[in-house]
Amino acid sequence: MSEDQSIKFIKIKDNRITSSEGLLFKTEDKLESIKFMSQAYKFFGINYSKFFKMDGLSKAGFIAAELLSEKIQLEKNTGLIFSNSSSSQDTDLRFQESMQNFASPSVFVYTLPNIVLGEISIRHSIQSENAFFITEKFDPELMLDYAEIQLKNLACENVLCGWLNLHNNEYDVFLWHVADLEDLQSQRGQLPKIYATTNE
Amino acid sequence: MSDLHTELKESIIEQLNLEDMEPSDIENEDALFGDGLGLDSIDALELIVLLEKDYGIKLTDPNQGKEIFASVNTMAGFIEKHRTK
Repeated sequence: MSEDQSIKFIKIKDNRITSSEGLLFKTEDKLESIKFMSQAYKFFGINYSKFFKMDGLSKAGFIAAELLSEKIQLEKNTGLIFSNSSSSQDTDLRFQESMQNFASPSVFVYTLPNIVLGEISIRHSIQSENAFFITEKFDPELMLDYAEIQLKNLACENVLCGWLNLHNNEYDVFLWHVADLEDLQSQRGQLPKIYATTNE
Repeated sequence: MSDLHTELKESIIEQLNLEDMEPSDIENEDALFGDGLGLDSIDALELIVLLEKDYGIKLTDPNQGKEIFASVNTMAGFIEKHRTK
């Protein structure tokens, strides 16, 4: 097994969900992001009624974390370090639109990108460190640097890192797991290559 | 079942994103919160918006909510008395 293959990840993009082991799910037609996530939810037999109340960003992150949790243990001391470039812009715009008539409370609660971290934490009973960075593009070194600080400070025991972007119905989700400091160091330099491969 | 009861059930399902639920799945007496449909505090806010948007009713006393939103029956009764549209 190459070093690359030891990194456990989930990728969601262009109507396809893949993992470090291969294709998990795809739809033939290009669906709206929300519809695609709902189809994936049903396909994988996930049972969590609050899923349908989530915004698109949270749905995407929730499904990716759910699938990754089948391969790795998400636990109380798992840190969550995510980033994207579009923040919660799609939901922000939906909320702005709703304000023309009656502002929607259920849309408002998702007008921050880090809400997805709360959703994942609730689902997996995580009570550890979390952060959500806004960066122009996928920057694994930023997330690994921050993860290293948290691991060294014993703020968490392992980390779920992720690029989670959703904008204008286009989504790009890449979640991966960092088991410990040694694993983290072995991942440096590999992630841009793996991420690029998943986009092919 | 009155048209209002059915209309309310359809609105609740749509507004609160109760996926895979049909109006016939909700009994008029079912508790909307707690052990019934399991709605939460954000859902309660959505129901307040629904009353104003669809029936022109503004709730001035938040304490009324617990009684009004107990079930579809209590909601329908309140709407029939106070609706302005």
